[in-house]
Amino acid sequence: MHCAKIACVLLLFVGHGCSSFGHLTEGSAWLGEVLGAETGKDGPRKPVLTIDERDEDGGRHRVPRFGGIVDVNSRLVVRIDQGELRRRSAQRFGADKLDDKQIAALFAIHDAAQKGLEHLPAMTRALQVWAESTKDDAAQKALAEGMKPVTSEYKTIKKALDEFEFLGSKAAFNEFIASYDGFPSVAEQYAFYLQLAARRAEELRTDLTRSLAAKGIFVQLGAWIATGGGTTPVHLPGFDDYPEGDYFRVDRVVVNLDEEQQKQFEGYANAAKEIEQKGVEPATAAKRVARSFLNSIRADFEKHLQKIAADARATVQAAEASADANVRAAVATVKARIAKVSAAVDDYREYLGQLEAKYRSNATATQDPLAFLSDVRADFAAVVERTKQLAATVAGVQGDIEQIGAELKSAAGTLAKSANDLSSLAEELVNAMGLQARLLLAGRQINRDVLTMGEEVKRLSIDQVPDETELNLLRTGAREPGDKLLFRIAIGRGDDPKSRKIVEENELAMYQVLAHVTSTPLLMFANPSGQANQQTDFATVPAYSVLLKRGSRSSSFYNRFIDAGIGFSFAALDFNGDDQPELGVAATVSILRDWIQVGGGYNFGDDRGFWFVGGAVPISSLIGDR
Amino acid sequence: MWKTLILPTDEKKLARKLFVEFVRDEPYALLVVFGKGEETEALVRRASKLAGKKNDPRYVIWARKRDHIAEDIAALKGGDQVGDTALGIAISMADKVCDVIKETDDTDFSRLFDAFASTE
Repeated sequence: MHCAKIACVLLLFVGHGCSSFGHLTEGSAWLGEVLGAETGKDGPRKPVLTIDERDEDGGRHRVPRFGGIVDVNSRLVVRIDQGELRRRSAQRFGADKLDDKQIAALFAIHDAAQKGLEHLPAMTRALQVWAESTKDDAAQKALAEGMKPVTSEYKTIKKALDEFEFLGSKAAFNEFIASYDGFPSVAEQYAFYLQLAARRAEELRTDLTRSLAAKGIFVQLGAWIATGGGTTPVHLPGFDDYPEGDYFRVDRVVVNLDEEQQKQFEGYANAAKEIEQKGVEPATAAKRVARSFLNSIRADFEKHLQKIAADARATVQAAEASADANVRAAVATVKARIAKVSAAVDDYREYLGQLEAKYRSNATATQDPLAFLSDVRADFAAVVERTKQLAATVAGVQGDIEQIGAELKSAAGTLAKSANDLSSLAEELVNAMGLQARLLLAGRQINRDVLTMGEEVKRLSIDQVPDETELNLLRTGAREPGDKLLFRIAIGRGDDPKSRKIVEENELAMYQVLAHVTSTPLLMFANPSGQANQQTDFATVPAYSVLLKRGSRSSSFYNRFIDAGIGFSFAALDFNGDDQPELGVAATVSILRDWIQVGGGYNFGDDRGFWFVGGAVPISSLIGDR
Repeated sequence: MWKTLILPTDEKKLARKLFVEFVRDEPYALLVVFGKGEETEALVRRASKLAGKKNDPRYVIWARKRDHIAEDIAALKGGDQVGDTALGIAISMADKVCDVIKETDDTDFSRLFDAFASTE
């Protein structure tokens, strides 16, 4: 049965998706690195950056420190914890009067005092309730719970002061109580203690900030957006001189098919016709598709490679012609590095050639479509991996060259561009591989190593850093669900350019989290109820679905792979075999990015119900002549 | 003295009864001060000033003869940690000894406030 074969193909895609995802956990390497950095010698660190999302529906959400997901059309308020920033700056660059332990104690006391003061009104209310209570067990419990948020902060301060008495708090507290006319209430005693601690800690923090500013400590905050068009910086008001990006809103209601989908729809129509007429023989057609795909990869690669080589040659020739002996000497080193890249490129090119020959010679010939597609998937995965390795080699060489000296900045810049080109190429290849390859890639990747803060990013003195800034995603240009954002905050000392250090990075993924409507063409296999005038159990017809979806703020996996929807499908059926299409409308459930859609509906022309299974995978490309 | 129960020195039985009943029945965080003399009296006055307003859940007990109630203190949770030379102890509403003021400690308001806070 045709439908059985197609169902097998569908399952094959699904199976590959899951196993491939297992290989690549999202950002596992960098995540471990950043997590490690989050634990200082004084224990877990507070984040410097806090991001709050304000979505188009008026919702407000705190974005988690790791693995944050925001709606693609939201505004993001980025807040900077000035205290934590100063603490990290002081610990990196030193403070005149305080050692590391004292700095840690100072900020612990400051934060605890602030929190304690915030909870003080609740404590006062708890004491009032207690005064009017019967003092039974329930009242005692309520009192303890009412007081605990304050007393626990008091104990934090006390613990810090045990190691480091710098506030002069004891003497001031003793003086306050002694001079109090009458008997201060318990709430007044805590209030005075916490206010005293907060005031003194703030004074010391201000002194510390002045001291850091006098040392020339600066702060930079930058942000980038990674889209299909590459990774580019975005404007953060108050922190850079970049212009605001183009206005672009990802539509939330899309009921029309775009040009590409229209073509896909026409493809499904043709495929449906062929299936009805000839049946399916996927393996033969799949080989043809694979060969075509590999040819496309090679053509892309050669095109990029030629441009990269031309850039590098021009740079080296210009440097060789230099009158400066240092430049000429350094050129020799550059050439050696380039030779290393060339070897890697040759290796890669040879690999592509072997793969292409393999498909051309029908070395993979098999009558089993499942086995064949399994081989194809493995080869495609290897192409992606090889391309990534090549990009990494070029990036590594670029790092070596940067150290050679300022004279070769342009050469290093060219190679950096080459590394970027190759990274982009790797991504392009993956995109070119279509739906299957998307499963191999754990979302869009940001190559953090090649990101640098441009001259447009201001170096703000530590005492002039704004408390917050806002990034309106609508002003970040064209983007799509799955694209990413990176925020990076760094500190440094003005007189020492090498002292700059990244304090924290926060990477977010953008998806259509809010409710939205999408449309998708699909190839539908409809099974009519009762006796229909057709040769097979299933009628293969083109159709399209209009689906309501909502994304997840907690799971990239869901957004990338599950992406469930519910809605309606519209199909051009012909159950009565009169070659006149009849409208079928079906309630539809979609999962796996619309690859699998099922539902039940009604053929209005033939007055008959039906159920269907279908999908938006490129099944049509696997169906061809016998 | 404000919000302070002074135990008798001449009737051990009565002193024990007052102490035990107060600890058991009265819903207060307690600061119990031991001993006699001017310094101790000054300590008690400081503690009573920290006992707060009338309805605040703090109280002070002045046990001028520690040995009268030594057995009862030892019977409390954490009572075995008090020792013979302590100047005072803080007892929570759950009748647990939360802090011991040692003879080497300052007995200023700050220290006594800390003793009360340990019970809260």
